[in-house]
Order: sequence, then structure tokens, then C-alpha cells
Amino acid sequence: MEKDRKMLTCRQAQNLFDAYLDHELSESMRTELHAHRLRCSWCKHQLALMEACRDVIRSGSPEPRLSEDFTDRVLVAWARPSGPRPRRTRRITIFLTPAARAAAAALVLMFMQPWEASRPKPTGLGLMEERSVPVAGVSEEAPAGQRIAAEIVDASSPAEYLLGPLLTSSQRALLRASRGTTEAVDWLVKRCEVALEPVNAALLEANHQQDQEPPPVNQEPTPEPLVPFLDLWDIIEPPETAAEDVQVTI
Amino acid sequence: MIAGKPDSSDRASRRAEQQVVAQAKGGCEQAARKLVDAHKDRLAAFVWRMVRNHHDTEEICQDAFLRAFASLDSFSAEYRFSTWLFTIAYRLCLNWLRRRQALSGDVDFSAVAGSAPDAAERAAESEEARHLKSLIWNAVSQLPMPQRAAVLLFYREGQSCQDIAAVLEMPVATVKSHLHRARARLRDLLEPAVADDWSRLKVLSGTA
Repeated sequence: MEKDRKMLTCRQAQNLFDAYLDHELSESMRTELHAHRLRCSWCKHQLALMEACRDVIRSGSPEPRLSEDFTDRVLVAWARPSGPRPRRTRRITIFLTPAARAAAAALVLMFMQPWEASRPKPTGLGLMEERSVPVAGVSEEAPAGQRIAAEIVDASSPAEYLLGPLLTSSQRALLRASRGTTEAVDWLVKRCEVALEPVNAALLEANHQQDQEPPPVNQEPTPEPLVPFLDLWDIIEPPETAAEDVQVTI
Repeated sequence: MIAGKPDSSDRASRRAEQQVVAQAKGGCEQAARKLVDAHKDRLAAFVWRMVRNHHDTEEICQDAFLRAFASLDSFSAEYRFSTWLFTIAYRLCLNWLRRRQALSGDVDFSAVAGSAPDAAERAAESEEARHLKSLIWNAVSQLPMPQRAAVLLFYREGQSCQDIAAVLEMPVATVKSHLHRARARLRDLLEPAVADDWSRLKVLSGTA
């Protein structure tokens, strides 16, 4: 006759806990463990605690849900050609040589000048004050759309400089109706981008002409580094330089 | 959990998933939408448990999907899409943690409050049960990142140790070791709290 197997000690039982919780114990060992836990209140308590952890984690807890438009945002971002983390709008970035940059500045000033005279000066904004240009003129002569834009656009946004000539009366009505809403902000941003496109096209042409001109004989073959210019989001939200994204290689 | 051989329904779902992945690889928006809709909630739950911040959860989830879609060419049919996705998300979580630690020293997850239970859940559970849940989730949030990830993937996602090893990019034995340590740590964290509660409840029920 075979000798009876010894009962499990607490230490032996605890060494089986993981396998038990992972359903990796054989039937016979499970029964041994059940027998032990029925007579040992300490191990019974320990196992109950671990089973509670397992069940609570399995059943979950109300984690915050992703926003409603999450899928749409992912798909829109996926459709963009500019990489895994695109900006919220399409970038309009042009690299300019110094001469072309001067031409660009002139074009931008010409574009902004009529409205500049008509709108009230923003206060406390270094960027705006830097860009302001004293121009003779009176506010009554400014297009009505510019005045509406000045009313509705947040004065902290330099994008407002680009809106004035683009507003029609129907657009004005739309803006009034949706003032303060996301729709209005999106619309305004889109108009800003549209306003930038012809300017950038002109800049591109100027840049191209600059490239075509042969450099003077004594000039260094490599000009100073090119800089990005006239990207709407770089104007509104300067790019972050402090925190570099950590590269995730897949 | 036993990582057994895939049954016929599992094989069928894998084939279906591979078809959807192949369509997404070809640029099909509908297929990509299917993949996002099928996985976003589970991914968000996992990531939120890692970073405990709603804004960062959205960012990491979006980044994970975009990186997964951008690298579909290197996706191996040997794995589920979810394994691939969770692998990327876990790496992004680690990067997030490194950035946070670089900016603010150590990250104290215990200081971050969990989400409050909604009204329906409150009505369906006793205070005692809710308290136990709260204790357990607080203890989980105090686990180190790999242990927490292993526990969540194992219990919450029902993944096998092999799948978890693929997600966390470590050997199966290391995953088991993390699970073992995580359980021991949870026991250590919960034991005093539960013992206090039980003694308090005994006193309350004795005086009632």
C-alpha cells in the first residue's frame, strides 16, 4: 500500500498561488491547495485577496473614454502625408534665402497695411506691437469685413491681420451667428490659410528667382541656413523647441 | 491563463483581422476605421492606467494608431493587431514616463486620483465593494510600470504570457517574474488596508 501524501505546508501552498491563479495547476494539486485553504485561515485570506485583485482588475473600472471624434481625428491625421504626428492644419512652409525673406516681409506688410490703420491697437502683446505699422487713414475707409473681423477675432491672435479683405457680408453673418463657437474658429483658421497661400506662392516665386541668379564670384558658395517662413501655426503657436519628442522606432 | 492552441473561431477572427489589416495597408479608410473602432476603447483603458491623464491618453492612443498604420508593412501576421498596437502604445507610455521624470523628477502615481464611479455603478454596488475596488486600483497604480502593464494585460486584456512578452518585449520568464512580483506587491499594499477595514467593519457591525 502506498504511503499517504503529506499535507501541504503554508510555504508550499503559497508557492502554488501563482500557478493556481493562472490556472496552471493540475487537478490533483488544485485539490491539495483547496484542502489546505479550508483548514488554514491565513492562506485562505491571502488567496481571497489575490482572487479579489484578479476579479476587480478583470472587470475594470470606469476609465475615461476617448473623445467622440477620436476615430475621425486618427483617420484625418492618417490621410495626411506629413508623418505620424501632423499639425492640426496643413503646413504652408517655405524656405527662403535672405533676399527672398526681405521680399516676403514687403509683401506681408503690403497685405496687412490697409487694415492696420483701421483697427484698434492691441495692448500688452509684444508680437502685435512689433508688427504694427503706422499708416495714414481713417477707420471709416476700411472695408466693413475688416471691422467685423476685428470685433470677433480674439485680439491675442495675430491671425486676425489676415482676415480683413476676405470677408463678405454673408460670411459676416455666419461669423456673427457662430461667434465663440468651434465652427467660427475653424472657419477663421481656414480663411487665414487661404490668405497665406497667395503670399506664399509669391514668396516661392521670389525664392525661385533668387536661386536662379548666379552667385557673385567672391561670395561663399553656401548661403546662410534657410529658415521656415509663413506657417500659420508657427505664427499662432510658436513651435516647441524645449521638449523633443523621443523617437519611437518600430 | 493557459496559452493554448487557437481554436477555429480564433483562427477565423485572425484571418478576418489580417484581411482588414491588408486593406488598411492598401490605404482603405474603411478598414482603418474598423481597426480603430475595434481597439480604441481597450487601448485607451490600458494607456490611461499607465499614464493616469486623459489628455496624454488621447495623444498616446492617437500616436499609437498612426505609428501602427505607418508601419503596417512590417506588421507580422504571427501576431494579433492588438498585440502590435499595445506594443507601440507601451513604448510611447515609457517615453512619456521618461519625459515626465526628466521634467519633474519622480512621478507619484498614487497622488493621481482615479475616475469616480458613475451613478449606475454606485447604485449597483455596496460601499464596501466600492471601497475594495478603490483600494485595489490604488494599489495597482503604485506598481512599477512593467509590473502594472503585465498585470493589466494579463487580467484586464486576458492576454497570455506569450502575448504579454511580445508587447513588453521581454522573455516569457521575465513576464512571469513581473506577474509574481506584482501579486506580492499588491498583497503587501492591500494587506494592511484590508486588515484595518475589516477590524473597523467588525467594530461597526458589533456596535450596530
